[in-house]
Order: sequence, then C-alpha cells, then structure tokens
Amino acid sequence: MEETKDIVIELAGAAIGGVSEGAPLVEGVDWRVARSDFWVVGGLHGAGKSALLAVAAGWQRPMRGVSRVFGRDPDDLSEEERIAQRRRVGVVFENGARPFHQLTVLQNVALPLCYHRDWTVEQAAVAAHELLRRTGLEGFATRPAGDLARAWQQRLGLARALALEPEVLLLDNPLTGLDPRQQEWWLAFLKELSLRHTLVVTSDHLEPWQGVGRQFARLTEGRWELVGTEITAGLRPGPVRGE
Amino acid sequence: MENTVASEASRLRRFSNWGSRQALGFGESLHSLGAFALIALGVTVTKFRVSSRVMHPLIVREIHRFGVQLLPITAFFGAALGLLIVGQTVPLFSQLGGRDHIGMVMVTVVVRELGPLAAALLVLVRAGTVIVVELGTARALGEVEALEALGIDPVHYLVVPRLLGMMIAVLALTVYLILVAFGAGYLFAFLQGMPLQPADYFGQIAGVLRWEDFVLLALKTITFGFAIAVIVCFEGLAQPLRLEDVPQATTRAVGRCLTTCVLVDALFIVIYLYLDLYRFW
Repeated sequence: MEETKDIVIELAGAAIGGVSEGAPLVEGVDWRVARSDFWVVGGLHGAGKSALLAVAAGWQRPMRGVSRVFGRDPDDLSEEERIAQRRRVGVVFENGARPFHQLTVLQNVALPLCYHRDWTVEQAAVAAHELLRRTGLEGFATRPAGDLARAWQQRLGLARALALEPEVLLLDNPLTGLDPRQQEWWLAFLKELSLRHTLVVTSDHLEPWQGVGRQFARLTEGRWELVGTEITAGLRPGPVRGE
Repeated sequence: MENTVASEASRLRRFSNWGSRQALGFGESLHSLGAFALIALGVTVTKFRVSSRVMHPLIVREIHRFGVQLLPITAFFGAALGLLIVGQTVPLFSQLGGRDHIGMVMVTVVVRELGPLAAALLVLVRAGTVIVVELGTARALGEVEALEALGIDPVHYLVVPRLLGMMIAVLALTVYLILVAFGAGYLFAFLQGMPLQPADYFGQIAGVLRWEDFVLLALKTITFGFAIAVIVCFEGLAQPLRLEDVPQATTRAVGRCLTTCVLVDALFIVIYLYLDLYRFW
C-alpha cells in the first residue's frame, strides 16, 4: 500500500493485548496520527498504554483489527524495510528509558549514529554533544549511563531517541517519578519539540499536558475514547478494565 | 496387596510422566538452541561488513577480553599440564627404557586431547559465565528492546562479536597452551635428569605430528568456541529473564557447555580413530 500522505500511524478496529496471552487490554481503537500531531493518551497503570505504543511503533500486532505505520502493515515489511521504519519512529521507554548501562552517556547517544550511518566516533560525538547540550546532559557525557539518577536516564533516553532524527517520537509515561521541576522541563521541551516532530505521549493523567498536547485520548475500562483537542475540567482517566 | 500394586503403578506413572516431560523439555531446548545457532551463524556471515566502524572494534575488544586477558592463567595451566604429563611419564619411561616416546605422549595428550579441552574450559569459566551475566542483565533491564527500538539487531550487536571473539580466543589460547606445555615438559624432564637433548625432544614431537593434527586442532578449537559462545549467548539472551533469574541461567549455561564440550571431544576422538592418527608404529 502507498504511504498515506500525512498519516503516519493508523489503527482501525484494533484490539490490543498485553505481553501475555488473554483478553485484550483495549478494544475498538480507531486512531489516526497525522504529521505534526501531538497526541496525549491518558490511562491508569495497566490500562494498556505501553501496549498501545508498541502497536503504534509497529513492534506488536494488534490482536484484532488493522495497524499501519507510514501506510504499511508492519507484517508486510522485509528486514531492511523494518529497520528503516524503526529509524523513522523514535521511542522513549518509561521508568528510566532503558539506557545501555555499560556505555557512557555520550556513547549511548552516539551508538545509533555510528551503527546506522557508519560515522566515526568523532563525527558522532559532535552530534551527540549537541543533543546532550539540548537535554541538559552535557555535564554527564563521560559518566557511565548506569550511574545516572532515574530522571537523568529518562533524559538520556530522549537524547538517544532523537539521535536518528525520527519523524515520529513515541514517549511512554515520560513524567512518571519526576519531581515538579523535571516535569516542567519535559513539558517545555516537548512543546518546543512538537513544532518540528510528530509526538505521541502516554500519561497516567492528562491534566499536566493541558496547553502542551494538541490532541487527547484516553483508555478507560478497556475502551478507546477520543477526548478532543482540549481537556475539559475534571476529566481524568477512568478505571482500567476489571477494576 | 492391591494397595501396594496401585501405589507402585502410580509411582511408575509419575516417573514416566516426569521422564516424558524431561525428554520433551530437552528436545525443545535443543531445537531452540539449534535455531539460535543457525541465526547467529547466518547473521555473522550476512552482516559481517555491516556497520564495520562499530562492529570490528567490538570484535577486537572481545578477542582481547577472552584471549589476551587469559594469557597468564593459560600459561599457568599449560606449564602445569606439561609438568604433570612429563612428571608421570618420565619415571615410567626410565624404567621401561622408552624415553624416545615422550614426544608421542605429549602430542597425544596435549595436542589432541587436553590442550584444546583445557583452553575451552578456561574460556568457559573466565569468559562464558561473564557473557551470561552481561547479556542476562541487559535482557532483564530492557536494553535488548532498546536496541531493537533503534533498529539495531541484538544478535548482530551483542552475539556476533562474542561469537567471533570466543572462536578466535579458544584457537589462539590452545596454541599458546600447547607451546607452554611443550616447553614446561622439556624443562621438567631436564630437571629430572633425563638424558634428552632439546633437538631430540622437539624432533620427537615434530615426527609424531601429522598435517591432519593442525587441521583437526583448528576445527576442534573453533567448534569449542562456537558451541560455548552460542550456549552462553542463548542462555543470556534468547529468553525473557528477570534479574533474579540470571544466576540460574549462568549455572545452566555452564552445565550445558561442559556437556557439549565433552561430546565434541568424543566426536573428535572418533575422527582421530577414523583417520588412524593413534597408530604410531
């Protein structure tokens, strides 16, 4: 199928499951992410936010329904196409963003550049230093990533995901466990980033994203619910399925 | 009486069920391990030149970690092996008047048997266990998924350097261990007052060695390195692990590697016998 112009991620009638087999966590997901969108998806712990992002990134098949990333069903991609697609979709994991603990902060960011672009360490270091400067990590460049506090590891995950200049950035619960100052930094950074990137963020609560995100949805009791472009007062994520 | 028979039947059934489960589990593990070995081999061949600026320094680093850093302990084991063999055989040969056969004993025991096996076991203990812990921890901390998210093949990035590093390290360490064992063997024979000139001693060894020995030594050590690397990488990487599962995975990997090394060794004994390499007269 041809890449649908301006639609980067599309789910239709999708039922999304967790890691283990069983009933889907969310059903009836009809979702289209267009270029330059900034989606914020709310849902409490266990509501299926991470699984939704895994499907949106093309790593996981929906249990039912259709998923397309850049107009292509991830199952139809060859190995080379799959790798090329992953370079276009950046992902920041939750809870510390899974840095490579054995590498330094600089090496974490430089690795994808050296690997995919066959750059020398010196070439990659220039770009990596710039990303570390933007994310406030330049003072930690030579430190092992495993030594950083969780909040800085989360920023490192962001810098690493941005290294390959992805067209879409998916962030899983980036505000979890951060103090108010760190949260403020993230909200400001992502708002500025959304001027040039398509962003999808999941969050336990939608309120902090008011005025930052542009489109809102939530996962409530196993259902996908579009909220719109503004969060109405008092609208918090509802209970997860089974509660 | 009836109760006793029923109880025996029940025990037999339980034992039979347990045996079936073990056999099925073993078959399944073997199948997964074989598939993993083929994937690792395929990726090694097809992606050898991919991202060479990242991968080739990693391969060199692993050769250094698994090979160069093990030189001192390999030298110690090589010297011990030479001393033990000569220490046992010199008194025997002195009584039997067979000092011309020391070279034959050294080639049979050190080159064909204990040298490769000792080097492989050293690498397993010093490096194999480290690999299981490294990869198991990376898996448990989600680093493998992070690599995949960046479009980096974990088998290419994590397994290939370790596989090549270990194959080359076992080969190189075996050669080193054999040379040290030969030297230590002569030294001990000399210290025991055996009237044997260096030229005679090394001449005996050279006379017994055949060209097949060099080919089989290379094949055997590379097979040991490949088997150990595949098993430890499989145990660390191929299954979802939690941090608390890593020690158990390490123990399992060591057990499987030991069994595999002994089986590979037995296979090569059959090949030596088939090629008639144990016939000296």
